[in-house]
Amino acid sequence: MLKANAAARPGSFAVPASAAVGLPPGLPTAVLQLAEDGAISDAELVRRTLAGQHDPFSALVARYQKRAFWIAWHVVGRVEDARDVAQEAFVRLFRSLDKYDFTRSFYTWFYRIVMNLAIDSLRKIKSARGQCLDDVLPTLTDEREEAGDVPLQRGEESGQVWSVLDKLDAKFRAVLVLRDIHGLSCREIAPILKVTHATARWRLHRGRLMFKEHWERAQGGTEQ
Amino acid sequence: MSAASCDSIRAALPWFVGEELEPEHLASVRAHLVDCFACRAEASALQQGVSRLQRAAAAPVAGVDDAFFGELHRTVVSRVEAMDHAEHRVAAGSPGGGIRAGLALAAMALVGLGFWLGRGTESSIFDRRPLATPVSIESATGTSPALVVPWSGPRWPAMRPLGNEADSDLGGERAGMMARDRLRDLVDERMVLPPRQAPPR
Repeated sequence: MLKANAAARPGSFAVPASAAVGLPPGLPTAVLQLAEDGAISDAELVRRTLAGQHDPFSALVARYQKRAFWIAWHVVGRVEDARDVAQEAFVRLFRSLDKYDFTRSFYTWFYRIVMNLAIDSLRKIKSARGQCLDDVLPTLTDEREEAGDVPLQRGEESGQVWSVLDKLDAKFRAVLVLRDIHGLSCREIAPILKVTHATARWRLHRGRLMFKEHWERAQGGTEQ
Repeated sequence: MSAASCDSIRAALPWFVGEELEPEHLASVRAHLVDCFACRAEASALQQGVSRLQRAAAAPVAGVDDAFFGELHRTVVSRVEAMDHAEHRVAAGSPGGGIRAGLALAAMALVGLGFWLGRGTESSIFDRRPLATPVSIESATGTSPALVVPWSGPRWPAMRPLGNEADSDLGGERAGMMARDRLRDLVDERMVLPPRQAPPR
């Protein structure tokens, strides 16, 4: 049961290799052991946290902080906002740990918190852009478009990809991020976004078509 | 290759490129793509979109490295611990807090009960006929100084305790609490009657 729960966690996904899934450095030994021990499920860590221990929660943060940050970053597109979303997600998680349903998977529940916060953050950014474009534009550049050490052509492509993704509605964007970048299945995405499996599949279908159409339009525009 | 079959295949392509297509449809889509150049081009464009997204996500981000995540972990844990300690301080700083909260709740419940009893116009406990002037015919004529204690219950007959009027033949001004006493007397009288005797054979 514990092994099964630990194995149910989504594995690798498309993030920079330098900051792929792994534990952050400088963890206390007790936390490191808890976080690395595959036999200790997420639910068990929640149980121990509810019993009043701090280390298990620290281990949960170590296990999920990279995933939380990258999901937020792929949705909002700014490191600062993504970091705030990840922090707030863990604070909310801690506050609502007693509401955790132990029959459900932990990461689905946690991803839902992250995704909701990320979409809220994105909407705030977009409304700020819409309200006062000239004032806030210099501070609201999408950092995904400025990937530092990447070869120029690949960096340009990344920028174009993110600007195309920006044009999609948040609900399509969320499905594309969770499916195509983070490798979750539609069955896993559905409870995260609180939609049915059929809706998740439909959004994925529409999202991929829309992404292709916007991309082709953007390429046509640059060629002209 | 018919246009209709191309349409149905193209509808399935977004799932085909993500390997989310059901096995029974997968074979037919593959067979169609072998023969249809236009659908193959469409599938290729969709596949490239997915690949572009994955490549863009894998590109390094300036300032996001292990040190960044170490700092993020420390910030989150210290924030949560501070929050937890603050909650414990609040709980420990007020030992009688639970009792006080209970008393406050009880007081609120009493106030609520008072309002509930006094709700509406007909059933209000405040909606009573004011005590009449304690004067009867006798006292008015001066024949007797006895005071009459008036009915100080609800103003309207409908507000009197239910059941008496229907059960009693007294009705009128004796209905209500007075009639209930009378009924009790009647029952007592019945109780003292000799038991019914068996009919003679």
